[in-house]
Amino acid sequence: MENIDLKEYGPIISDKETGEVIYNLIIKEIKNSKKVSINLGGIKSMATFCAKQIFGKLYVELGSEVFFQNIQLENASDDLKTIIKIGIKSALDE
Amino acid sequence: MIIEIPKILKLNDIATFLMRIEKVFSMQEKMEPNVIIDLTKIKKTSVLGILLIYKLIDYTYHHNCFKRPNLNVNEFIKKEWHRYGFFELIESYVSNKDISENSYKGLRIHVEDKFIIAPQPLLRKDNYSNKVLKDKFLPKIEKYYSHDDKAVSMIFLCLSEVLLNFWEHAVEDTKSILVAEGNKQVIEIACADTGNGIVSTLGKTLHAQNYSKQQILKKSVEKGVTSKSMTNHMGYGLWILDEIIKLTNGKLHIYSQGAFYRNDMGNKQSGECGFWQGAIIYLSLPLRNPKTLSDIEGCNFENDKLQINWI
Repeated sequence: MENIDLKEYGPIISDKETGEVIYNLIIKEIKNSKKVSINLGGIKSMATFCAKQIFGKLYVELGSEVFFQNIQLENASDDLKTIIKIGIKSALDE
Repeated sequence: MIIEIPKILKLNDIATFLMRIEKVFSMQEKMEPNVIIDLTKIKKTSVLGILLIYKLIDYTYHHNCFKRPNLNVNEFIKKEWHRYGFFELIESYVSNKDISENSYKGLRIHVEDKFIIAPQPLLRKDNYSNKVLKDKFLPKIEKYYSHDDKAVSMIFLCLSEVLLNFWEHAVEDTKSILVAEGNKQVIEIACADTGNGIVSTLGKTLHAQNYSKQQILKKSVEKGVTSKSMTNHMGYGLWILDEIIKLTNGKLHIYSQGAFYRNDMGNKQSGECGFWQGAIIYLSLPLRNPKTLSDIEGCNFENDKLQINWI
C-alpha cells in the first residue's frame, strides 16, 4: 500500500491548484493498481470545493466499492470527515 | 475635489464610507487634478476600515483616477497603518516606488496580547501568497488558539471558504487582500478586492429571475447558489459562513457593487448602499462557543450510506 501524507499541503486546503495536485497524486497511484492510505492528520480544514474536487471526483470515477477498497483515509478529524462527505455527496448529486 | 473619510470608520460606518468614495469607481483613467484624500478627521477605525482605505488608495493609483492627489493624514491614522502593517504599502504609493507584491514580503504577523495578520495579497500567479499563509500565518493562529481545538477548526473552516472564494473569483490584477485581528474572545477576518464583484458574477447566473442587487447578494449566502454551476463549485462557501455566524452570534457583512448583506447575530438584513467595485467580506467570530460544520443543520451525515474507509 502506498502512503500519501497530505501534511505538506496543510494546514488548510483552500485553492483549486492544490486540490488538483492532490487529486493527481492519488489517481496516479490508484491507476498503478495500488491501494493508497492518505494521512489527513496535518489537515485542519478544507474548502468544500476542494473536498469535491478531490474526493468527490475520485468517488464518482472509481465507484463506491473501489473507492472503499483502494483508499484509506487516516487521521481525519470529525470536521474534516464532514467536509469530505459534503464534497462526495455533492459530486454524486450532479 | 475632496474625498473626506468619516472620522469614525468602524463596522457600522462602512456604508457612510462607501457613499463618500463611490464616485472614484467611475473615474478610471480620468487623471483628475487637484484631488485631496482627506484622512485628517479620522479618530476611530477598525481592521476593516483600514483595509478599505488602503484598497481605495490602491484602486485610484492603479486606475489613474487622480493626477498627483494629496493624501492628508493625521497621526492617528499613521499609527493605525503601522499597527496593521499597511504603512509600508501606503508609503510605496506616496513615494511612487515599486509597489509589486515585494512590498508585502517584509510584513510580519504581530502576536502580543492579540494577533494581527498583516495584509496578505491573494495572488494566483505564483505560489507566494499561499505559501506564506500556510507556512507562517496559519501555524501562528493555530498556536495562539492551541487551548481550543474547536476554535481552531472553526477559524480554519471559515478561512478556507473565504480564501477559496477570493482565489477563485478574484481577477488577477485586482489583488484581493486579507487581514485578520484576534484575541482570545473573538477573531475578525476581512478580505476585499476590486474585481468583478458578486452582484455581477452571480447576477449573470440568476438573470432569468430579474433579481435586484440586494436580492442577488441575499441569494449568494443560500445553500447551493453559485456563479459557477457545473464545476466543482457547490455554492456552499458563503452559506457555511452565514450558518456559522448564526450559530456563534457573530457577524458577517458582505458589500458588493452598491448592495450589502449583513448577518448580525442571526439578524439578517440586505439593502442598497454606496458602490464598491468588487467584493468586501467581513467576519467577526466569537470564540466562547465555537461551531463547526458538524453543528450546521443539514451537514450531519451520521446515517449516510457513503462507503468511506476511515481508519
